[in-house]
Amino acid sequence: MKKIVLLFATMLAMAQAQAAAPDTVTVIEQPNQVIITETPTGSLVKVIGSKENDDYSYTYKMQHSGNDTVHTSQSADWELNLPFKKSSNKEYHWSIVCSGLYFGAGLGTSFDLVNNSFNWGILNFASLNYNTLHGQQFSIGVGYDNKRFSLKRPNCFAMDEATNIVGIETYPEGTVDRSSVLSVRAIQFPLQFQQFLGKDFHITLGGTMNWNVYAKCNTHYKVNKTHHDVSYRGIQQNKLTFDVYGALSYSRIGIYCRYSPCNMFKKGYGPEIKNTWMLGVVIGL
Amino acid sequence: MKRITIIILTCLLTTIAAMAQTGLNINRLFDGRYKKASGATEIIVTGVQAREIGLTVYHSLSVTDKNQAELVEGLVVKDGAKAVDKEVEYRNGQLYYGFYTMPKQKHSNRYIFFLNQNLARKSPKNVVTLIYMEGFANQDEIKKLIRK
Repeated sequence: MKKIVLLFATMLAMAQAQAAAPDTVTVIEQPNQVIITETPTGSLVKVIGSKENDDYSYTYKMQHSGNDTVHTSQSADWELNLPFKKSSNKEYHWSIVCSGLYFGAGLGTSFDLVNNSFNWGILNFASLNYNTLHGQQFSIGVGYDNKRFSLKRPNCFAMDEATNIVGIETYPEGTVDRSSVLSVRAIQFPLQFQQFLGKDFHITLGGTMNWNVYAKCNTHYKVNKTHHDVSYRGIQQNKLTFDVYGALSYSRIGIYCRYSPCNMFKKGYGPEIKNTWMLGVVIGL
Repeated sequence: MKRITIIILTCLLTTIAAMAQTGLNINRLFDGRYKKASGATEIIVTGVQAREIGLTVYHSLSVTDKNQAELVEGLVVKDGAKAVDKEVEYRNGQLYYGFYTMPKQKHSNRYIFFLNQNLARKSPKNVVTLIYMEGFANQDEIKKLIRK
């Protein structure tokens, strides 16, 4: 009895082993083309041509459910060719760029008689940038800045040409079309930090040293149908002033805020125009 | 009345199913998060340049961060389950490459290609690449385009 059981067990094991062994379905010597296609319901192997017969064709179809995973292997690697990959796409730590065209209006200043102010310039004609390649960038550059301050009526700028002291006077009686503006132009040297926030947003924080190379007061009015345009040069502006600024940009456009704590005039040579806040739009920062 | 209700319900369900099919999981990766990320390169081409190679949209993403690579692979495999045709190769249990033909959208062919070059045999590179392509190019044209 024991022998019979052992015999059955051996036969069963042999049968299972035979069932598990892979069967060769067909062998095609040197096929011309093998096409394997797959759909959610099955796979199809199609062989076209053989060693002896170019017209030979053979198809092998396998059904499977949509959840099956198809594993394939091949000896060759996929040599990828990215069609639009530019060699210049590589990011570098160091770069020189031109950036930051801005236009802003004054939010307020320490001098009460200022009616409004305007600010525009290019933050960096050229800047040397260092990108950490981890979302931060530092830069130092050179740019141009222009600040304009106009006075509340009936006040106007007037300069004593002997002492070069700028004072505040009132327009003559009966004047119309009046304006009086102080304009200060500077070459600025910004030092700034940028942090990329993702989704094309980035913030910029920086400070500039302004070399105020030129200042002019211009008073314009009309009386008895006669235009008067008075420009005062030789103004004693503060040659060096410092500003701080911050900007929030999306892609290449953003808003900036700039604070100028320094007085525009040298002490004793004009009214104290300082603590000026500007807010505006910056492009290409 | 009952018949009309059934027809309307059938139409609604078909529309919802069709809409659901148009959404791809990999869209999550193309929301701009990699534009300025280090270790990632994203290329988007539409318009004339894309049309020159039979496409309307070409969008590629290459990442070197391992965690990001796993995320990309996971999303590709999810989308691959909905493919009408696919060619995939696994190496060491990981997806080495996958070329998926997705259901058409507005008569436009859609393809997803994935390649994990970490698993290359000759010269492995720490780069995982995902390409989404949409247009009138057929499979062979696409393969010629992305294979050296």
